[in-house]
Amino acid sequence: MSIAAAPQAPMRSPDRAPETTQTRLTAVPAPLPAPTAPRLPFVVLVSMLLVGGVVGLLVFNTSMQQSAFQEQRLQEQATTLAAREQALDGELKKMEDPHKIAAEAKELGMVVPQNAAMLRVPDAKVEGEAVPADRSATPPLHPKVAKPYSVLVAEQKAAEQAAAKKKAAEQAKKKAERQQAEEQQRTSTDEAR
Amino acid sequence: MAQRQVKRKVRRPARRPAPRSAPKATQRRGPVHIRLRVGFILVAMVLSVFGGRLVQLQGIDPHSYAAMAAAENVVDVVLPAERGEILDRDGEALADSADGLMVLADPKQTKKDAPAIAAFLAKELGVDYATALTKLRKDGSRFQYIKRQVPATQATAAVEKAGKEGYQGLWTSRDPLRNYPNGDVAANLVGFLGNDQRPLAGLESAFDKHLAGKDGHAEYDATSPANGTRMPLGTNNRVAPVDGDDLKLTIDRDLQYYVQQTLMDAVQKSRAESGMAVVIDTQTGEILSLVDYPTFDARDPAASPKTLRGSNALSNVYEPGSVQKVLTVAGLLDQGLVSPSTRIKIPESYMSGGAPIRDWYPHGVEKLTLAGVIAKSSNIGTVMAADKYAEGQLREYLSAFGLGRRTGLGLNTESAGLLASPEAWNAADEDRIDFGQSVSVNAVQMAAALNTIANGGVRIDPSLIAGSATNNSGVEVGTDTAERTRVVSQEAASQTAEMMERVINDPVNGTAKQAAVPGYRVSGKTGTAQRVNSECKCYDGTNTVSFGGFAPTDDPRFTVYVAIHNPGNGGGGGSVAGPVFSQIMSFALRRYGVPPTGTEPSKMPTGW
Repeated sequence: MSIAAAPQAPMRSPDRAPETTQTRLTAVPAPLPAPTAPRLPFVVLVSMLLVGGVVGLLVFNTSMQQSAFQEQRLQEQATTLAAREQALDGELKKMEDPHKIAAEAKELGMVVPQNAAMLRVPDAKVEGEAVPADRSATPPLHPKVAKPYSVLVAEQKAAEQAAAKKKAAEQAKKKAERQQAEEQQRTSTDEAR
Repeated sequence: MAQRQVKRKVRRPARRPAPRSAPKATQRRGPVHIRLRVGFILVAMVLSVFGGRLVQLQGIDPHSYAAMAAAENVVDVVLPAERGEILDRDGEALADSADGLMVLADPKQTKKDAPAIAAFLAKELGVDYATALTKLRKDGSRFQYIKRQVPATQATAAVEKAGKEGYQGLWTSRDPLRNYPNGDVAANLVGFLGNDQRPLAGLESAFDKHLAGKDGHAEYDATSPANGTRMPLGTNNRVAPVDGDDLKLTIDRDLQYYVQQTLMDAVQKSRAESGMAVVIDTQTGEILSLVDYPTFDARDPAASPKTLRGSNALSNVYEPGSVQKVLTVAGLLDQGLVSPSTRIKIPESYMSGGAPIRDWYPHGVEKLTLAGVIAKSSNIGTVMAADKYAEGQLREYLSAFGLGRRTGLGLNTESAGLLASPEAWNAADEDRIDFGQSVSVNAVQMAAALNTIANGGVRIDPSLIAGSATNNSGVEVGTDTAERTRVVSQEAASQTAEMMERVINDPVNGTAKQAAVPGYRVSGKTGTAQRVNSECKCYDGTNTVSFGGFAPTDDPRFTVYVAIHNPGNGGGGGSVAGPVFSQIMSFALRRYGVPPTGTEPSKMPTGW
């Protein structure tokens, strides 16, 4: 408005004034307000969305965290149970060790038969010779670590030598003690004199 | 001054109503420019600070920051693959993997109590105190291995106890563990893993690629590595581990145990150096047991010397001695050059290549049939019969029986033995090869050769792996790939078998009555060979005594071969190895429910 008016300013000279029929300035009626929806419901909606979103996210996050904890708890439980199963399985395997079975069978007085006869059911015929079982086919139980004979012999020799040495050392010690005791006695008797 | 005026002027019109300021509009341009420029410079300065920081972070030293971030919360764990089991023919485990655990520490949490925790760990897990201490104090790390392959129960107990005593920052993770539940039974074949879980011997080593599988790994953000809780929506990369394949053997664990104990007893009672025994399923070539004594405990390999931690039955070669006569004679029969009743007049000694060949017992001129030569194990008789061979024929037969080449069980430690090449072959050597000298074999080769006779003249490659598996050298082995080749005719094989029966049942000339199995027809052959000393390359006066055979004679099910080295009691094949053969054969026949055939035993004449 003001910019448009500026160039006209020189025309508003006093001499021209009477010519212009001036209408009175009147207030332009205010334009009708645009039909607007009530604001309040919109604001409420937006804030609800915002709050709902934030709360939802929070709940979602918390539940995820919760399930992470639960996962970890279950994982631990699974590990413990697996460990227990493994331990039991290990025990079972130990019991199945042929060495152990043989040892227990021997304790019960069982032996391996040398030979067995077989009964053929259809014609009721006995095949093979049944021999009373003795210990001849039962191998001995064995030492924990098998060693070659030469090593066993060497070890035995070493053990014997060690024993002999120990014996000799003990004898020497005893002898020394005896001598010491005798000396002491001698000195004590000397002192007594 | 001027600037102040400008500023004042600039400010004032702004507050005034628009129409009034119109005349000063031109005056405002200059100040706006300056304002914009100042603003722009400020923004540019801030941005260039940001840019500089960006270059510093991304360009100059990106890794230290990434590492710092990783150390803060990211956990990267190896997910170990479970190693395949080694099973016997019935699926019993010879080597299995258990779920061990590794004990881990978070130095950030353990740093303050490090000495106390290190002492606690040294006591509970047996780790080295000093090593543990440095690990527990490690700067900038949130993840340290304290001990690997701990039995699960022990590890969990230790970590729980640590928690109760108030030590934070220890946790466990899965880490498979190798077990050998049967100790020394089949340890010679199975082998073992070293402390760092690397395979060091036997099938564990030869089939490592088959058994090992592939480790995976997982990388994730954790709120704290010690409690392992993952951050949702954090980094989570996981490559699942691929477990290894099982390896199923043809070995029968219980038979293996019995054979081992029986052999051990015989070796100890005869004051021998060592012994080996092989049991083969005649019709399939499957090795039911392959035993070495002495052997080692797979649970504690360090307790035995290195030379015992493998299978000497495969890696040691020796001269087979008289058992070999069976192969020589079977070839002759196959060629139709002799028959079991061929009469041979045997002189006191026989000259060959400038040296006399003698028998193991002194005798005058003897009249034996070919069956008698086998029954009584006459060297001279065998050489005289074998003179009928054309040049090169014997070598062809022995090679077809599998001598001089590896049996292809899949174990790398097998040695091929020694069968002279056609170029190096000469008549004097051939005379000695006839009865098993100047040729060397391993125990499995000899057992497979004998099994050829048992199986009606058809040789089957012996196998140790049920089905098939590929070893580290890329060779596929196993029962599926075992080849069958005819070596001698059915007729020659059964005649040889009957002649071998006379070794055991001939009351006059038989050399191994101790090898009989009551109720069954049994064929076998003794062997006593001088041993070649590897140092002097000469016969050193010690012997290898052996016995190989099969039963029942007319429908063989098992071939058993026993060799015992350097018996201190001076015994021979019949007296030392014979009884072992009998016990093993009897046990195997009973265990597999093989009935006697009920036919009449051979009465072939042995003398004339």
